[in-house]
Amino acid sequence: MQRILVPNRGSRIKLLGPSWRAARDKLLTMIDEDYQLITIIGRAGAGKTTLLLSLEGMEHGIYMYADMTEVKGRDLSAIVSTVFADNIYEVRNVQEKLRKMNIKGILKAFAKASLDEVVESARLKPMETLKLLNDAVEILDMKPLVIGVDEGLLSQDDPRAVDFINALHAFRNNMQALGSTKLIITLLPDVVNLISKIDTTIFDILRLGAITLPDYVAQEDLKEVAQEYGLGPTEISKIESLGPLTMRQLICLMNTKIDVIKCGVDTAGEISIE
Amino acid sequence: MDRVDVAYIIGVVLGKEDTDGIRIAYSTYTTTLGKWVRDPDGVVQYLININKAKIVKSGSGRSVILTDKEMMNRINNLLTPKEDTDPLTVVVEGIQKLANPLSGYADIGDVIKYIESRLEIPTKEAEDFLIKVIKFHRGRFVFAHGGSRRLKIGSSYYGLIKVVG
Repeated sequence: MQRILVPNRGSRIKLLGPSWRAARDKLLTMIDEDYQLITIIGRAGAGKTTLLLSLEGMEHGIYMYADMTEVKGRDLSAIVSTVFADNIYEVRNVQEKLRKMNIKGILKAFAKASLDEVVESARLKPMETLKLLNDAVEILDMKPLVIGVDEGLLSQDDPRAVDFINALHAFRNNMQALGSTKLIITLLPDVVNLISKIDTTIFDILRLGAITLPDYVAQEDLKEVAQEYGLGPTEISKIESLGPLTMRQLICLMNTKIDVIKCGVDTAGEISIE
Repeated sequence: MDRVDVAYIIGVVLGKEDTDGIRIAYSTYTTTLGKWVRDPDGVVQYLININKAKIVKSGSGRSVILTDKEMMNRINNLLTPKEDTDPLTVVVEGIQKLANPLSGYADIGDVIKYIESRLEIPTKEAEDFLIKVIKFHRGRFVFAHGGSRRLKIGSSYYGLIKVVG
């Protein structure tokens, strides 16, 4: 049952709810408008990962998704090597096209390298390897290169926060050289708070290209989801009475015959401060 | 409250502001003052003796001028009702003031401090105030993890709060 609530690669993502499709449209517009560092902000269950995964198979360019959840480090080396390791098919595709072009110089070496060598290069020289891929995408006229980094930081207490922020700085400092590369990251509200407190420079950059996902399902979203799941008016009004719900909670309710406890909907009157 | 305080309250209520202080017709003043003190003329004399009032001629009669401006301000503040504070408005304003500009969420610890300072109440009362508002207006707020204080709702813990809509 739980896997229904965990979006993953390979399964076709269908974005339910006009609010979420509007967020996707905004994201695509920002990519078209050449934003290079885009942030998707949302509380747990708001649909950040789903939105990122909905970019798979986008019409133009290359999309590379990296889930950082199980990766130990959060420095640039860890992030870029995960991007390459998690997107072998795309890397191989670029290499093959480069080889067909009879490309010369350093890109020739990139085209001939084995996938292990490319991932190792990404680990040892992350920015240089990313630049090679960026240049390859430009030469092959396959731009933009869109990289989605999910779960960069899990909470405000994540001890790897400084590494992650430094990686964002490194990307920011090399945006000119990586002209065709767009980096999309997902952030939880508490991580946004943390960054605003400890690194105003990067916070100011992030706020220029931020998308805040809806914190709760609006009436028109509920209507569409209810229609998709064939819900009747009685069930809809029962769900409405539960108060503001995240999209994940709503989908969970659909799949559990409205089991509020299983879906983590806080209906308890008991509230305390600890 | 002593006789001087009573004399100033009546003066502030009945009198008019003048360059030297609050001015009021002697007979009006002593008549009203007499409702609360046994010897209103004696009280006026006492105020004059302690340099808190003076008598001036006014047309064919006399006026009392209360001259202690600090005391007048104090009485004025005492008589001015506190602004009615709608609990929901206090919390919503606090959240909106403290919210992160990108996420829209405010730290619950900061919101409690805001309530403390805005309503001039101790921390525990501010916490109870916030809890009551959340309970009563459950649908007006959404929560997220993190923050400096932990709000427990049912079995979930949150530290950030945002206003819905």
